[in-house]
Amino acid sequence: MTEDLISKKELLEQTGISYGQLYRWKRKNLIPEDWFIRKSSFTGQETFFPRESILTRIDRIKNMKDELSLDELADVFSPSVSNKVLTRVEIERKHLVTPISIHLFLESGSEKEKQTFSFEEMLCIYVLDQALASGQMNREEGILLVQTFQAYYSKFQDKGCDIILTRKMGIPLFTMLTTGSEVYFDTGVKEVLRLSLNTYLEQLKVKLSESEGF
Amino acid sequence: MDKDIKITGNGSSGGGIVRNVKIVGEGVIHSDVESQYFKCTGTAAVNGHLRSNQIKLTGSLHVQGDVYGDSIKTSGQFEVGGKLEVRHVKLNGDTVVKRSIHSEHFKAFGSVRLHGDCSAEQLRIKGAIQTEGMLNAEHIDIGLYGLCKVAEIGGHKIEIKRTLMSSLFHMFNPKRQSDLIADTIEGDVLHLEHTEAKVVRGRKVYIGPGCRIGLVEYSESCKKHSDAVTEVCNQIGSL
Repeated sequence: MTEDLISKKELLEQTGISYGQLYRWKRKNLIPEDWFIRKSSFTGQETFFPRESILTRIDRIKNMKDELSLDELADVFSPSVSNKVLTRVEIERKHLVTPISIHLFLESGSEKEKQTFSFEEMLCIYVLDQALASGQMNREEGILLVQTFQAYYSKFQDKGCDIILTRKMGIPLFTMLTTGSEVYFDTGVKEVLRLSLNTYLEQLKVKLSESEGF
Repeated sequence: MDKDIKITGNGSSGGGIVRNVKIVGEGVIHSDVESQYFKCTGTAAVNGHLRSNQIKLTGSLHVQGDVYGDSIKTSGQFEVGGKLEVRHVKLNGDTVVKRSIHSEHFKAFGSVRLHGDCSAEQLRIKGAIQTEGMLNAEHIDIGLYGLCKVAEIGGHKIEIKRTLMSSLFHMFNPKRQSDLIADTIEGDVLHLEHTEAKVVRGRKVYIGPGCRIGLVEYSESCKKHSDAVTEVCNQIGSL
Protein backbone atom coordinates (compact mmCIF):
# COMPACT_ATOMS: atom_id res chain seq x y z
CA MET A 1 0.00 0.00 0.00
CA THR A 2 2.01 2.94 -1.23
CA GLU A 3 0.20 6.12 -0.38
CA ASP A 4 -0.24 8.98 -2.75
CA LEU A 5 1.71 11.89 -1.31
CA ILE A 6 1.44 15.63 -1.78
CA SER A 7 4.26 18.05 -1.10
CA LYS A 8 3.76 20.94 1.26
CA LYS A 9 4.20 23.48 -1.49
CA GLU A 10 1.67 21.81 -3.72
CA LEU A 11 -0.73 21.53 -0.81
CA LEU A 12 -0.60 25.24 -0.07
CA GLU A 13 -1.07 26.12 -3.71
CA GLN A 14 -3.99 23.80 -4.12
CA THR A 15 -5.85 24.73 -0.95
CA GLY A 16 -4.91 28.39 -0.81
CA ILE A 17 -3.90 28.33 2.84
CA SER A 18 -0.80 30.06 4.15
CA TYR A 19 2.18 28.73 6.05
CA GLY A 20 0.90 30.58 9.08
CA GLN A 21 -2.38 28.68 8.97
CA LEU A 22 -0.74 25.34 8.33
CA TYR A 23 1.62 25.74 11.27
CA ARG A 24 -1.18 27.08 13.46
CA TRP A 25 -3.26 24.02 12.76
CA LYS A 26 -0.32 21.78 13.37
CA ARG A 27 0.26 23.48 16.70
CA LYS A 28 -3.35 22.95 17.68
CA ASN A 29 -3.10 19.28 16.69
CA LEU A 30 -5.69 19.66 13.95
CA ILE A 31 -3.22 17.92 11.68
CA PRO A 32 -1.62 14.89 13.29
CA GLU A 33 2.12 14.79 13.68
CA ASP A 34 2.50 11.54 11.77
CA TRP A 35 1.04 13.06 8.61
CA PHE A 36 4.16 15.18 8.29
CA ILE A 37 6.34 12.86 6.28
CA ARG A 38 9.87 14.12 5.87
CA LYS A 39 11.79 13.01 2.85
CA SER A 40 15.10 14.18 1.58
CA SER A 41 15.14 15.88 -1.79
CA PHE A 42 17.71 17.83 -3.73
CA THR A 43 17.10 20.94 -1.66
CA GLY A 44 17.54 19.09 1.58
CA GLN A 45 14.37 18.06 3.33
CA GLU A 46 10.87 18.30 1.97
CA THR A 47 7.68 17.62 3.85
CA PHE A 48 4.96 15.51 2.31
CA PHE A 49 1.46 14.57 3.40
CA PRO A 50 -0.85 11.70 2.57
CA ARG A 51 -2.83 13.37 -0.20
CA GLU A 52 -6.33 12.07 0.42
CA SER A 53 -6.35 12.52 4.18
CA ILE A 54 -4.80 15.98 4.27
CA LEU A 55 -7.01 17.40 1.54
CA THR A 56 -10.22 16.22 3.17
CA ARG A 57 -8.97 17.35 6.57
CA ILE A 58 -8.14 20.86 5.36
CA ASP A 59 -11.43 21.06 3.57
CA ARG A 60 -13.26 20.21 6.75
CA ILE A 61 -11.24 22.60 8.88
CA LYS A 62 -11.99 25.39 6.44
CA ASN A 63 -15.68 24.56 6.52
CA MET A 64 -16.00 24.27 10.26
CA LYS A 65 -13.65 26.93 11.53
CA ASP A 66 -16.32 29.63 11.36
CA GLU A 67 -18.58 27.81 13.75
CA LEU A 68 -16.09 26.21 16.09
CA SER A 69 -12.99 27.61 17.73
CA LEU A 70 -9.66 25.99 16.97
CA ASP A 71 -9.63 24.28 20.34
CA GLU A 72 -13.08 22.82 19.77
CA LEU A 73 -11.95 21.66 16.37
CA ALA A 74 -8.91 20.04 17.90
CA ASP A 75 -11.25 18.10 20.13
CA VAL A 76 -13.20 16.88 17.13
CA PHE A 77 -10.11 15.59 15.38
CA SER A 78 -8.28 14.21 18.36
CA PRO A 79 -8.13 10.43 18.41
CA SER A 80 -8.73 10.29 22.13
CA VAL A 81 -12.16 9.31 23.30
CA SER A 82 -14.09 11.92 25.20
CA ASN A 83 -15.53 10.98 28.56
CA LYS A 84 -19.08 11.88 27.70
CA VAL A 85 -21.87 9.60 28.85
CA LEU A 86 -25.06 9.25 26.86
CA THR A 87 -28.38 7.74 27.81
CA ARG A 88 -30.29 5.45 25.53
CA VAL A 89 -33.11 7.97 25.24
CA GLU A 90 -30.70 10.70 24.20
CA ILE A 91 -29.14 8.53 21.52
CA GLU A 92 -32.51 7.66 20.08
CA ARG A 93 -33.70 11.24 20.20
CA LYS A 94 -30.61 12.51 18.41
CA HIS A 95 -30.91 9.80 15.74
CA LEU A 96 -27.23 9.00 16.05
CA VAL A 97 -27.80 5.34 15.32
CA THR A 98 -30.74 3.12 14.50
CA PRO A 99 -32.51 1.38 17.41
CA ILE A 100 -31.70 -1.93 15.72
CA SER A 101 -28.00 -1.35 16.29
CA ILE A 102 -28.50 -0.45 19.93
CA HIS A 103 -30.51 -3.60 20.35
CA LEU A 104 -27.88 -5.73 18.70
CA PHE A 105 -25.17 -4.10 20.79
CA LEU A 106 -27.05 -4.92 23.98
CA GLU A 107 -27.65 -8.47 22.80
CA SER A 108 -23.96 -9.10 22.30
CA GLY A 109 -22.99 -7.77 25.71
CA SER A 110 -23.74 -9.04 29.16
CA GLU A 111 -26.00 -6.21 30.30
CA LYS A 112 -29.19 -6.52 28.31
CA GLU A 113 -30.99 -3.59 29.91
CA LYS A 114 -28.24 -0.99 29.89
CA GLN A 115 -29.53 2.56 29.73
CA THR A 116 -26.37 4.66 29.71
CA PHE A 117 -23.46 4.37 27.37
CA SER A 118 -19.91 5.61 27.60
CA PHE A 119 -18.49 7.39 24.60
CA GLU A 120 -16.46 4.33 23.70
CA GLU A 121 -19.56 2.16 23.71
CA MET A 122 -21.32 4.80 21.70
CA LEU A 123 -18.53 4.67 19.14
CA CYS A 124 -18.88 0.92 19.01
CA ILE A 125 -22.61 1.15 18.32
CA TYR A 126 -21.96 3.80 15.72
CA VAL A 127 -19.41 1.67 13.91
CA LEU A 128 -21.76 -1.29 14.13
CA ASP A 129 -24.55 0.84 12.72
CA GLN A 130 -22.47 2.02 9.80
CA ALA A 131 -21.21 -1.46 9.05
CA LEU A 132 -24.73 -2.89 9.09
CA ALA A 133 -25.98 -0.06 6.94
CA SER A 134 -23.32 -0.82 4.35
CA GLY A 135 -25.14 -4.07 3.76
CA GLN A 136 -21.96 -6.08 3.72
CA MET A 137 -22.12 -7.44 7.20
CA ASN A 138 -24.81 -9.60 8.73
CA ARG A 139 -26.13 -9.59 12.30
CA GLU A 140 -24.03 -12.50 13.53
CA GLU A 141 -20.92 -10.80 12.31
CA GLY A 142 -22.14 -7.64 14.00
CA ILE A 143 -22.06 -9.39 17.34
CA LEU A 144 -18.53 -10.53 16.62
CA LEU A 145 -17.60 -6.97 15.70
CA VAL A 146 -18.88 -5.63 19.02
CA GLN A 147 -16.98 -8.27 20.96
CA THR A 148 -13.76 -7.60 19.07
CA PHE A 149 -14.13 -3.87 19.49
CA GLN A 150 -14.79 -4.04 23.20
CA ALA A 151 -11.98 -6.41 23.90
CA TYR A 152 -9.25 -4.62 22.01
CA TYR A 153 -10.14 -1.00 21.29
CA SER A 154 -8.56 0.25 24.52
CA LYS A 155 -5.27 -1.37 23.56
CA PHE A 156 -4.77 1.17 20.81
CA GLN A 157 -5.13 4.04 23.28
CA ASP A 158 -4.73 7.31 21.42
CA LYS A 159 -3.53 5.79 18.19
CA GLY A 160 -5.90 5.40 15.30
CA CYS A 161 -6.97 1.92 14.32
CA ASP A 162 -8.86 0.10 11.60
CA ILE A 163 -11.11 -2.90 11.76
CA ILE A 164 -11.08 -5.28 8.84
CA LEU A 165 -13.72 -7.89 8.17
CA THR A 166 -12.53 -10.77 6.06
CA ARG A 167 -14.22 -13.98 5.06
CA LYS A 168 -12.75 -17.24 3.97
CA MET A 169 -15.07 -20.01 2.84
CA GLY A 170 -17.94 -18.16 4.50
CA ILE A 171 -16.23 -17.86 7.86
CA PRO A 172 -16.02 -14.27 9.11
CA LEU A 173 -12.91 -12.96 10.77
CA PHE A 174 -12.27 -9.58 12.34
CA THR A 175 -8.83 -8.01 12.53
CA MET A 176 -7.89 -4.82 14.35
CA LEU A 177 -4.72 -2.98 13.43
CA THR A 178 -3.18 0.45 13.72
CA THR A 179 -4.02 2.85 10.94
CA GLY A 180 -1.63 2.80 8.05
CA SER A 181 -0.05 -0.55 8.80
CA GLU A 182 0.03 -3.07 6.02
CA VAL A 183 -1.62 -6.44 6.18
CA TYR A 184 -1.77 -9.25 3.64
CA PHE A 185 -3.97 -12.30 3.49
CA ASP A 186 -3.73 -15.50 1.53
CA THR A 187 -5.57 -15.66 -1.76
CA GLY A 188 -8.62 -17.47 -0.43
CA VAL A 189 -9.42 -14.56 1.87
CA LYS A 190 -11.85 -11.89 0.78
CA GLU A 191 -11.62 -8.50 2.41
CA VAL A 192 -15.22 -7.45 2.88
CA LEU A 193 -15.01 -4.26 4.92
CA ARG A 194 -12.32 -1.97 6.18
CA LEU A 195 -13.53 0.44 8.83
CA SER A 196 -11.33 3.33 9.84
CA LEU A 197 -12.33 3.97 13.41
CA ASN A 198 -10.78 7.42 13.41
CA THR A 199 -13.07 8.57 10.66
CA TYR A 200 -16.09 7.31 12.56
CA LEU A 201 -14.80 8.88 15.75
CA GLU A 202 -14.62 12.24 14.02
CA GLN A 203 -18.03 11.84 12.46
CA LEU A 204 -19.55 10.94 15.78
CA LYS A 205 -17.94 13.86 17.57
CA VAL A 206 -19.16 16.24 14.89
CA LYS A 207 -22.67 14.82 15.08
CA LEU A 208 -22.68 15.11 18.84
CA SER A 209 -21.46 18.69 18.86
CA GLU A 210 -23.98 19.59 16.18
CA SER A 211 -26.89 18.04 18.01
CA GLU A 212 -25.88 19.84 21.19
CA GLY A 213 -26.21 23.13 19.43
CA PHE A 214 -29.98 22.79 19.28
CA MET B 1 -4.73 19.71 49.97
CA ASP B 2 -4.09 22.23 52.75
CA LYS B 3 -0.63 20.95 53.44
CA ASP B 4 2.45 22.93 52.56
CA ILE B 5 5.96 21.80 51.92
CA LYS B 6 8.52 24.14 53.40
CA ILE B 7 12.18 23.43 53.29
CA THR B 8 14.57 25.93 54.76
CA GLY B 9 18.19 25.02 54.86
CA ASN B 10 18.62 21.47 53.88
CA GLY B 11 15.88 18.91 53.60
CA SER B 12 13.73 16.57 51.60
CA SER B 13 10.10 15.68 51.15
CA GLY B 14 8.05 12.87 49.70
CA GLY B 15 5.99 15.14 47.44
CA GLY B 16 2.30 14.59 46.77
CA ILE B 17 -0.58 17.02 46.41
CA VAL B 18 -0.06 20.15 48.47
CA ARG B 19 -0.95 23.82 48.46
CA ASN B 20 2.39 25.56 48.45
CA VAL B 21 5.95 24.42 48.07
CA LYS B 22 8.68 26.70 49.29
CA ILE B 23 12.28 25.74 49.18
CA VAL B 24 14.94 28.07 50.51
CA GLY B 25 18.35 26.49 50.48
CA GLU B 26 18.64 22.95 49.29
CA GLY B 27 15.73 20.58 48.86
CA VAL B 28 14.85 17.30 47.27
CA ILE B 29 11.36 16.07 46.52
CA HIS B 30 11.36 12.35 46.05
CA SER B 31 8.31 11.85 43.84
CA ASP B 32 5.67 13.71 41.81
CA VAL B 33 4.47 16.95 43.30
CA GLU B 34 1.32 18.91 42.58
CA SER B 35 0.80 22.34 44.04
CA GLN B 36 -0.75 25.76 43.59
CA TYR B 37 2.47 27.58 44.04
CA PHE B 38 6.02 26.35 43.79
CA LYS B 39 8.88 28.55 44.78
CA CYS B 40 12.50 27.67 44.94
CA THR B 41 15.33 29.90 46.03
CA GLY B 42 18.50 27.92 46.02
CA THR B 43 18.88 24.42 44.73
CA ALA B 44 16.11 21.91 44.33
CA ALA B 45 15.44 18.62 42.63
CA VAL B 46 12.12 16.95 41.91
CA ASN B 47 12.45 13.26 41.19
CA GLY B 48 9.18 13.03 39.33
CA HIS B 49 6.70 15.27 37.53
CA LEU B 50 6.05 18.80 38.69
CA ARG B 51 2.58 20.20 38.26
CA SER B 52 1.96 23.63 39.65
CA ASN B 53 -0.11 26.67 38.81
CA GLN B 54 2.73 29.02 39.43
CA ILE B 55 6.39 28.21 39.49
CA LYS B 56 9.13 30.58 40.51
CA LEU B 57 12.77 29.76 40.53
CA THR B 58 15.85 31.63 41.59
CA GLY B 59 18.84 29.37 41.56
CA SER B 60 18.78 25.93 40.13
CA LEU B 61 16.06 23.36 39.72
CA HIS B 62 16.19 19.92 38.24
CA VAL B 63 12.95 18.12 37.43
CA GLN B 64 13.26 14.53 36.39
CA GLY B 65 9.85 14.26 34.71
CA ASP B 66 7.51 16.71 32.99
CA VAL B 67 6.59 20.20 34.10
CA TYR B 68 2.99 21.37 33.73
CA GLY B 69 1.52 24.65 34.83
CA ASP B 70 0.06 28.01 34.09
CA SER B 71 3.05 30.23 34.58
CA ILE B 72 6.72 29.81 35.22
CA LYS B 73 9.48 32.29 35.86
CA THR B 74 13.01 31.20 36.28
CA SER B 75 16.35 32.79 36.73
CA GLY B 76 19.29 30.53 36.90
CA GLN B 77 19.68 26.98 35.83
CA PHE B 78 16.60 24.98 34.97
CA GLU B 79 16.63 21.41 33.78
CA VAL B 80 13.65 19.31 32.75
CA GLY B 81 13.99 15.61 32.05
CA GLY B 82 10.66 15.37 30.23
CA LYS B 83 8.58 18.01 28.52
CA LEU B 84 7.66 21.53 29.52
CA GLU B 85 3.99 22.41 29.12
CA VAL B 86 3.31 25.77 30.68
CA ARG B 87 1.14 28.56 29.33
CA HIS B 88 3.25 31.55 30.28
CA VAL B 89 6.95 30.96 30.30
CA LYS B 90 9.74 33.36 31.19
CA LEU B 91 13.17 31.89 31.34
CA ASN B 92 16.31 33.68 32.38
CA GLY B 93 19.60 31.90 32.30
CA ASP B 94 20.36 28.42 31.19
CA THR B 95 17.55 26.02 30.40
CA VAL B 96 17.73 22.44 29.24
CA VAL B 97 14.63 20.45 28.27
CA LYS B 98 15.04 16.83 27.26
CA ARG B 99 11.83 16.63 25.25
CA SER B 100 9.48 19.26 23.84
CA ILE B 101 8.17 22.65 24.92
CA HIS B 102 4.54 23.56 24.52
CA SER B 103 3.47 27.02 25.55
CA GLU B 104 1.41 30.07 24.66
CA HIS B 105 3.62 32.96 25.65
CA PHE B 106 7.21 31.96 25.66
CA LYS B 107 10.02 34.33 26.50
CA ALA B 108 13.58 33.36 27.08
CA PHE B 109 16.70 35.32 27.85
CA GLY B 110 19.84 33.28 27.73
CA SER B 111 20.30 29.83 26.43
CA VAL B 112 17.66 27.21 25.76
CA ARG B 113 18.53 23.73 24.67
CA LEU B 114 15.96 21.09 23.91
CA HIS B 115 15.63 17.87 21.97
CA GLY B 116 12.08 18.09 20.69
CA ASP B 117 9.86 20.75 19.16
CA CYS B 118 9.13 24.10 20.68
CA SER B 119 5.68 25.48 19.96
CA ALA B 120 3.95 28.59 21.23
CA GLU B 121 1.72 31.40 20.08
CA GLN B 122 4.24 34.09 20.89
CA LEU B 123 7.84 33.02 20.98
CA ARG B 124 10.55 35.47 21.96
CA ILE B 125 14.11 34.52 22.51
CA LYS B 126 17.00 36.76 23.26
CA GLY B 127 20.07 34.62 23.28
CA ALA B 128 20.56 31.22 21.84
CA ILE B 129 18.30 28.26 21.21
CA GLN B 130 19.40 24.86 20.05
CA THR B 131 17.16 21.98 19.09
CA GLU B 132 17.01 19.08 16.69
CA GLY B 133 13.30 19.70 16.33
CA MET B 134 11.34 22.65 15.05
CA LEU B 135 10.19 26.03 16.30
CA ASN B 136 6.53 26.57 15.55
CA ALA B 137 4.77 29.75 16.59
CA GLU B 138 2.41 32.37 15.30
CA HIS B 139 4.96 35.04 15.99
CA ILE B 140 8.63 34.22 16.32
CA ASP B 141 11.07 36.87 17.41
CA ILE B 142 14.67 35.87 17.91
CA GLY B 143 17.33 38.29 19.08
CA LEU B 144 20.55 36.56 18.26
CA TYR B 145 23.24 36.43 20.86
CA GLY B 146 25.33 33.36 20.41
CA LEU B 147 24.81 30.44 18.10
CA CYS B 148 21.28 29.20 17.38
CA LYS B 149 20.71 25.86 15.70
CA VAL B 150 17.29 24.53 14.77
CA ALA B 151 16.08 22.08 12.16
CA GLU B 152 12.94 23.92 11.09
CA ILE B 153 11.20 27.17 11.80
CA GLY B 154 7.56 27.69 10.88
CA GLY B 155 4.91 30.24 11.64
CA HIS B 156 3.12 33.34 10.54
CA LYS B 157 5.59 36.10 11.25
CA ILE B 158 9.23 35.32 11.82
CA GLU B 159 11.86 37.88 12.77
CA ILE B 160 15.48 37.03 13.32
CA LYS B 161 17.85 39.85 14.20
CA ARG B 162 21.07 40.38 16.04
CA THR B 163 20.82 42.02 19.41
CA LEU B 164 22.64 45.28 19.98
CA MET B 165 25.26 43.65 22.17
CA SER B 166 25.91 40.97 19.60
CA SER B 167 26.23 43.59 16.84
CA LEU B 168 28.77 45.50 18.89
CA PHE B 169 30.71 42.37 19.64
CA HIS B 170 30.82 41.47 15.97
CA MET B 171 31.88 44.97 15.04
CA PHE B 172 35.12 44.52 16.95
CA ASN B 173 35.52 40.93 16.02
CA PRO B 174 34.48 40.82 12.38
CA LYS B 175 34.89 37.11 11.78
CA ARG B 176 32.10 36.26 9.37
CA GLN B 177 29.80 33.61 10.62
CA SER B 178 26.10 32.98 10.76
CA ASP B 179 24.35 33.22 14.06
CA LEU B 180 21.40 31.04 13.22
CA ILE B 181 21.59 27.80 11.30
CA ALA B 182 18.43 26.09 10.09
CA ASP B 183 17.36 23.66 7.41
CA THR B 184 14.10 25.29 6.43
CA ILE B 185 12.35 28.47 7.43
CA GLU B 186 8.75 28.87 6.32
CA GLY B 187 6.29 31.59 7.16
CA ASP B 188 4.11 34.34 5.79
CA VAL B 189 6.21 37.35 6.69
CA LEU B 190 9.90 36.79 7.17
CA HIS B 191 12.68 39.09 8.29
CA LEU B 192 15.99 37.33 8.50
CA GLU B 193 19.44 38.54 9.43
CA HIS B 194 22.65 36.58 9.93
CA THR B 195 20.93 33.36 9.09
CA GLU B 196 22.15 30.33 7.25
CA ALA B 197 19.41 28.16 5.80
CA LYS B 198 18.98 25.65 3.02
CA VAL B 199 15.45 26.68 2.13
CA VAL B 200 13.42 29.79 2.94
CA ARG B 201 9.81 30.04 1.82
CA GLY B 202 7.35 32.81 2.45
CA ARG B 203 4.97 35.40 1.17
CA LYS B 204 6.94 38.53 2.02
CA VAL B 205 10.59 37.84 2.53
CA TYR B 206 13.41 40.07 3.63
CA ILE B 207 16.87 38.58 3.47
CA GLY B 208 19.05 40.82 5.59
CA PRO B 209 22.77 41.26 6.13
CA GLY B 210 24.92 38.24 6.81
CA CYS B 211 22.45 35.72 5.41
CA ARG B 212 23.45 32.72 3.39
CA ILE B 213 20.44 31.00 1.90
CA GLY B 214 20.38 28.14 -0.57
CA LEU B 215 16.91 28.48 -2.05
CA VAL B 216 14.43 31.31 -1.54
CA GLU B 217 10.86 30.92 -2.71
CA TYR B 218 8.43 33.77 -2.28
CA SER B 219 5.02 34.65 -3.59
CA GLU B 220 4.62 38.39 -3.01
CA SER B 221 7.86 40.18 -2.47
CA CYS B 222 11.49 39.50 -1.74
CA LYS B 223 14.03 42.11 -0.70
CA LYS B 224 17.66 41.35 -0.34
CA HIS B 225 20.38 43.21 1.50
CA SER B 226 23.59 43.76 -0.46
CA ASP B 227 25.49 41.78 2.13
CA ALA B 228 23.36 38.64 1.72
CA VAL B 229 24.07 35.60 -0.37
CA THR B 230 21.26 33.59 -1.95
CA GLU B 231 21.96 30.88 -4.46
CA VAL B 232 18.54 30.66 -6.07
CA CYS B 233 15.65 33.05 -5.62
CA ASN B 234 12.33 32.19 -7.28
CA GLN B 235 8.94 33.77 -7.30
CA ILE B 236 6.25 31.15 -7.29
CA GLY B 237 2.45 31.13 -7.41
CA SER B 238 0.12 31.78 -4.53
CA LEU B 239 1.19 30.63 -1.11
